[in-house]
Amino acid sequence: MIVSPILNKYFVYDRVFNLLFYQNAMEELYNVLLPMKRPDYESNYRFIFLHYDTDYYITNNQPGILLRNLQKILVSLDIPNYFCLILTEQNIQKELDQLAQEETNNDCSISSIQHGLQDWIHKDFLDVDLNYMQISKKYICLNRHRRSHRALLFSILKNKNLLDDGIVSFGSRSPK
Amino acid sequence: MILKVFPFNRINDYWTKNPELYKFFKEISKDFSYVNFDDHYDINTANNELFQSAFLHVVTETVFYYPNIFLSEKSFKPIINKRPFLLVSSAGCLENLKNFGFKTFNDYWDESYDSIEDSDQRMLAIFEIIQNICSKSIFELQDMTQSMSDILEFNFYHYRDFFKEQELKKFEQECIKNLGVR
Repeated sequence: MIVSPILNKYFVYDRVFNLLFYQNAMEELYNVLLPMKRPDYESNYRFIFLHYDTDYYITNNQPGILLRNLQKILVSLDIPNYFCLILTEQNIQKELDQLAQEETNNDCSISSIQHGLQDWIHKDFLDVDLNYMQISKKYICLNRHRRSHRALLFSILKNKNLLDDGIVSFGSRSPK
Repeated sequence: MILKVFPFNRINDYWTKNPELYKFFKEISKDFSYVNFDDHYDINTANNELFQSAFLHVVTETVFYYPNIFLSEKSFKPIINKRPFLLVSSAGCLENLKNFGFKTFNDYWDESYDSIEDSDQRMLAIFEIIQNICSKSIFELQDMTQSMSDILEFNFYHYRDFFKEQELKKFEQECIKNLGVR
């Protein structure tokens, strides 16, 4: 991880937990955290969680289910929120504050650091010219993985006969 | 008790309750797929030849019907290819990109779509921009690209030379802050 050197500089931690791997079976996270629970921790000890994938929401004004489950697990293991840190690109701190109120007996929320340092954002790339004369299509819209909003936009473009103006994909890669 | 994810619908699917939008969607079957270009590219790498051959990059992010900001690597592909973009994503993502120091295209089209909380309305506002772009000729769009060159070049070099360092500094400050009394 790009952020590892900074984490190592300031925090003591045993490992980093990627919530993506536990979202469908949060009891596994409970089982992994259980042996790591201690009666006390160094002040800079942290349980570090990565939250780089989407959460599940029932309504716009309720915290995500993934975060709520995490909070419930921490409470059940008696791991104080103070020693927990979530790294994310999402603005979830309000949700975490709400969860602390709803699911715990203390005021301290799980903290989050919102950042743009995900490894997949910072890849090497070629230096290119503007190449504006290379433009031969009006837009590009690639939708390899099917998602409802992509299907919706594709449908609108199709209905308005705008697909030929663009470079467009939707759905699985065609067989070679 | 741990809540199970799967019995619930993602909020992403709530738009299907809008009959007009659902009418469009119904036309696409589960097995349907569509590609209108030579599909030999590896989409996971920045293929300049493909990405620079179009004017406007319509970035359909991972989530759209979502209450939080969510940016993936998709939003950065137009930047490294020096092309303008629309973000088909949750409200506020464009603002977040501006907070990262990137410049956007409000001088060329109405970017207020980014602040529209109602997802259906936001989608329609995005579509209006695409429709307007499609009404122009390729020559006009090439011309527009040239006139945007300051923004496109700025974004490219900001991404290449400054963005990561800037975020690392901010991240380190947040770590120090996290060690304080809360």
